[in-house]
Amino acid sequence: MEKEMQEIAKKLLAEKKVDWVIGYENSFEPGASRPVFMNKPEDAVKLVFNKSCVNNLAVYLPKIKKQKAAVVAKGCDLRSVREIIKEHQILRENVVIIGVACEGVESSKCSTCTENKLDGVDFTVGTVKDLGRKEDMSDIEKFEELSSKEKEAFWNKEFERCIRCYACRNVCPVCYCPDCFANRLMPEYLNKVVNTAENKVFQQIRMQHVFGRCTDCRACEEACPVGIKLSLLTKKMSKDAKKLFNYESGKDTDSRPPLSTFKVDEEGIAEIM
Amino acid sequence: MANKLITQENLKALVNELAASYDVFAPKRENKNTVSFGKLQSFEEYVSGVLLTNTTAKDKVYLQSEQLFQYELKKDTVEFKEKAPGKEAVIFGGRPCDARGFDVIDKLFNWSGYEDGPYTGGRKNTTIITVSCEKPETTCFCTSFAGGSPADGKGSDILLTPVSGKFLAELLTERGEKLAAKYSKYFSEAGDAETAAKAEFAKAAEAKITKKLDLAAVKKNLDASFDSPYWDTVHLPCVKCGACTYVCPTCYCFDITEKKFGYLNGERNRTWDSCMSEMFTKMAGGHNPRTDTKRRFRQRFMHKFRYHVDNFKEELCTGCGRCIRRCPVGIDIRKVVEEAK
Repeated sequence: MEKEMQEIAKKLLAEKKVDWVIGYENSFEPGASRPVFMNKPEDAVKLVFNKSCVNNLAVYLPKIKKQKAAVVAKGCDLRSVREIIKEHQILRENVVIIGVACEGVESSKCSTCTENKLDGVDFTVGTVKDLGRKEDMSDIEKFEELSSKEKEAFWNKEFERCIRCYACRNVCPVCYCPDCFANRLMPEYLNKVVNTAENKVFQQIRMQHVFGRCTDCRACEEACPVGIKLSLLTKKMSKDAKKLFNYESGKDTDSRPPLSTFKVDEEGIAEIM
Repeated sequence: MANKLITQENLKALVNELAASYDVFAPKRENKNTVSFGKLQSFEEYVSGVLLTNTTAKDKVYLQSEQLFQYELKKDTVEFKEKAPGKEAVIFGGRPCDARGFDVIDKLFNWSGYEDGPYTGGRKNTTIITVSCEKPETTCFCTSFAGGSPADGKGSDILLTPVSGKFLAELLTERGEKLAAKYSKYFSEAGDAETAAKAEFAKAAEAKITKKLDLAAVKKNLDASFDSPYWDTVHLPCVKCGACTYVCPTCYCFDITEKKFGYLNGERNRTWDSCMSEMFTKMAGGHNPRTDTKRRFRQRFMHKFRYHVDNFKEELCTGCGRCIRRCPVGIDIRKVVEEAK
């Protein structure tokens, strides 16, 4: 599989079809990998793919705007690539998608993955198999049953640890705003002081901003240096987007994200007035 | 200074007794993948097997956010209220690289005769009891630095090293001696055999760290590489979050901000800041001298291995390797500075 990937990358770079190939290379210890940018055909041998290739490389696409890039994408990452194309952050013709027939990496999302199909990619590496895995919302349903007090106590404990390094935001493929509200000083949405209350405000606003765009890829949870359980939020949002708007982020490149449009009568939402 | 011995049982009793009268911070499990320095209620909560906690003990002395003062505008005056000093604290179970971090930033916060009140206040209030490392991780590189070792006591008040089923307790500072004297019932005298065993332990642990940076060469290369095209591409995988700087035992940069409670009162706070952040160098008026991500990325390595060496004759790094492990995209500081040219 790696050999196949390396050949594709080498050819793309040698024929100058792309400026960059974004993939994974070996990292600081056996079994660890990290994202790599390569622009020379002879570097292509560095490409690897294994269980440690957790990173969602779609995060880099909005940053290489005017150049062309090939990106290695697992089924789940592919949803983010589609979402970014949909939001006009990169032109489809500027990105070459090297889809990987992934059977799971070291991530919490993989045991319930139904996203390994590689529709719309330019190259497929490996053979896509039916993994027979099923979506499982039981953890979210269980959390929904908690009382507001219990939920608050849980999140207070989580966000007490937050160090506001913004790794969650910066690894998020759909958090590409050049001017984040968290950095704004006038008006000041968020005080710089790091405490549980401010930390929660930050994540609450971020989550509102990515609702209906977040693909529950778990990049934020994987990146969090203090292990905050952000997947409870992202999974809940994807559940709600499906329930309220019958919308699934990253399924295609042309449907409208639910909060960027409206219907006079939304079927999923009851009138309050 | 003196060497003592302490048994496993006595150490447990000591920590339990300390927890009753001090704030004892030690590696504590937060969830499956997270162990951080948390306030210990009893010894049972202490996680002894973890070398690299997710975050450092730095924030127990140099708080991530610290109130400098509160103010209230009165009719003719302004009334200031300073925060009362915190409770005496003990940082227990940190590693030599964590403790060395304090030694490094001590010099910064006492630079050219200026003493930083909030920091030195916390430092004087805190006793640091460190445990030597037996099995280093693949990301460890403390032996690269002058005197750096998995059994080095710099920055610690008491260094515990496992020898023959007990711990050798080296009392390295007055603070350490005072604490040992107060709880002398738990300690016994150490002989030459135990001191020799510690030296053996240190040698064996040091030998397990395979990565060693040639710091003279690194400095020379960084001195010459500010404008090198090397930085144009090496930064690309970096997402410019601040995880590396906030989990670092030596990163010390901060920002000062106000929080208003109303029109007439508020507080001034100091909060850690990160050179990876765009806001770090943004001026009032909007100009930003460090214009792009490449320059921000370069700054972190230049500061740690070049500028700080120029100013303080030592690197702003203790080789704990946390930034490598906690980086969401696996940026390896050793590789970045070694390959700079």
